[in-house]
Amino acid sequence: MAGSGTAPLRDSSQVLLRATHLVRTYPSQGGLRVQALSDVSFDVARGETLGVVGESGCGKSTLARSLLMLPPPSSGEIRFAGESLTDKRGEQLRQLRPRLQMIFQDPLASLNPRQSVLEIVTAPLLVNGIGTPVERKTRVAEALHSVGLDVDVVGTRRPHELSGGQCQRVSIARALVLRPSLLICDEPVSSLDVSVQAQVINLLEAAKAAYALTMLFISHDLAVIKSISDRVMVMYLGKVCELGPVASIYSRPRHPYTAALLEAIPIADPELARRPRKLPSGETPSPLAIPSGCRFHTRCPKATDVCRQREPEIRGSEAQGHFACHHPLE
Amino acid sequence: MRPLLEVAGLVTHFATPRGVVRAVDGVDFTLQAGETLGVVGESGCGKSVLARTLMGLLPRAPYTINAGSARFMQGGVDRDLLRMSEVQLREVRGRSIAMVFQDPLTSLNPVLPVWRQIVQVLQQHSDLGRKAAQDRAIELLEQVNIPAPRQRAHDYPHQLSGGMRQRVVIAIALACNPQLLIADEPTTALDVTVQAQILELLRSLQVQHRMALILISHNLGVVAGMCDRVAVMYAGRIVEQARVDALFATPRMRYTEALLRAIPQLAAPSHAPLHVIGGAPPSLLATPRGCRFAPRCQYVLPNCSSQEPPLTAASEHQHYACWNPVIHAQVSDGQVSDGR
Repeated sequence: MAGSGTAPLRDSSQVLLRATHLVRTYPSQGGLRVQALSDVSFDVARGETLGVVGESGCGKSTLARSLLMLPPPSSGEIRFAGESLTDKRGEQLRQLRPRLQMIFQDPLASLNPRQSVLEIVTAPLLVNGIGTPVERKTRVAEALHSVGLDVDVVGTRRPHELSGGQCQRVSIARALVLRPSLLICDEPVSSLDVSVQAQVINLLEAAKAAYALTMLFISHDLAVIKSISDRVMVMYLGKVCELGPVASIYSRPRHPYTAALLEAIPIADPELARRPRKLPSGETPSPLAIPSGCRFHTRCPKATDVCRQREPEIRGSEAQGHFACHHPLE
Repeated sequence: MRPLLEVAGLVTHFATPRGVVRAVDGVDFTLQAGETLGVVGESGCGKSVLARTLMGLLPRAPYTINAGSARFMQGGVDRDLLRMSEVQLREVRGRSIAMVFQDPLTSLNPVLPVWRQIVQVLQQHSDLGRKAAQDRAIELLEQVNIPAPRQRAHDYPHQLSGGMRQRVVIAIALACNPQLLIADEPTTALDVTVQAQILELLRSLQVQHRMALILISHNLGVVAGMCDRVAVMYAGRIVEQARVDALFATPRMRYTEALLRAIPQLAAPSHAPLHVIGGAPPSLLATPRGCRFAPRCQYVLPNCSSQEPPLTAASEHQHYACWNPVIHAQVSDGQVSDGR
């Protein structure tokens, strides 16, 4: 597994966000360092939704935070709308922030429990000094309306008076009120029930059209990712395994890890669900003891000596997708 | 054949300062020996409270109000789990009925190595000596496919991965060869590849031990692959109960249908709008009159919100509670094809 190299990067004026050689390490016990992101390169074009999928410890949440410089990556470059984010600090970064917004997994924990919905959604405008009080009021009502909430009904309520789905709508409204160009969603529907999950996904799709958004959507759920994305990036232990158009990756995965993930999904169809499956053995190794060569080799049914020794370069084509594997599936 | 477990009119209400929470509000089902029953529903539908009621794990009166019965067959005698004393329950829990919880880290004792935790259960319920119990513990760890069980036995829970911890929890549950295992969201905290491994393990152990299983899950995919029968819960009630194939192929209750349609499908194209169930489940402090799903139902009829629909038989193996059920073309009532 692996995925060093910048092969998947596109050379186009349509690219809104480009990350090159992103690395993020964290100090750990005994002077060790954990590499949460290891040489990740990808881009997102304007109006596109890139889905990022992987299991715990694959670096997907670290990726989201690094892209917003919260905190900045240890090395590598992030370019947003032609400007380098990684060169900027303090005030310069603050000026760009309204254009990059984020939605988190736990809607209740990401809202201030002591503020009303109105205060929560107005806060980003105040922080960025946008508009007069009257204009702010209109924009907040508009943002709440676009997520299906009525400011007159919920405006004075506090987060604990709302359901999980409503809280997630409020956090989406808080992101939209700044009219961002890029919305980063980190597992936004993972803590929601199926019925509410569908509401939020539909709403994000509508918001994307209404606000001309570009999205980076992180989830561990392959079906959710397929539903919302144009392209998908599969990650494992801080590396990119596979990156490409949704249609080709789901119908013809090249990386054995992608295939294993697809195989492991429980499908709500008794006949399909009972079929015998080829499951990968073992679990994701500790990020403190990263396997040599391809990081997936300890669990890969196709692993050979070359996988243990050498990290595969990422290769492929834009139409069919890029993958990092010595022995890709046909 | 007499069922292993026969639950009738089961009610669990909680008395709270804000009123009575009707968490489980009249539930009936039976379970045969060796059978797997899936219980599905969204948060707050009462599925976990149902499991805890059966295990006697909830606070007693006056905090909890119980009614109905849960008759459990044990050694040819059936006894009501709800009428047992704490001492009698201790005999049953861990021996005849075992439970696996969602979060393996909080269900294990962090300050004991895993072998001691298995030995504790064994010594509580049998007269095995220390050495014999230790050997049996290693054997159990081997049964749940823990590599190098003799070494791993000395690990503390924090030294194990999530999947390994859940394997240990399962080993503890199986220690006394229970007749019934209740698994409450056993794979929800795990990654998808590990989830598949644990489900596979549960399935094979169930066959080996001829154990009945109640699998509680919000994930319809997990239930589809594991269960013989499925009960769908909504706001404290079972609203539909059927053989797994019939439930997925020909759901009758409108909530079941809506729930199945709301799942994002892998086979569907990207950006296809998902089917939505409007609104949110009702507060259990004030459940709606009539059908509890009526306020969210697209197919609501005038009498839905005044009269509660009774459980109706679509076939011998499918029961639903709905005034305006789904009609499936080609399949008439009573001949629901469930492929068995």
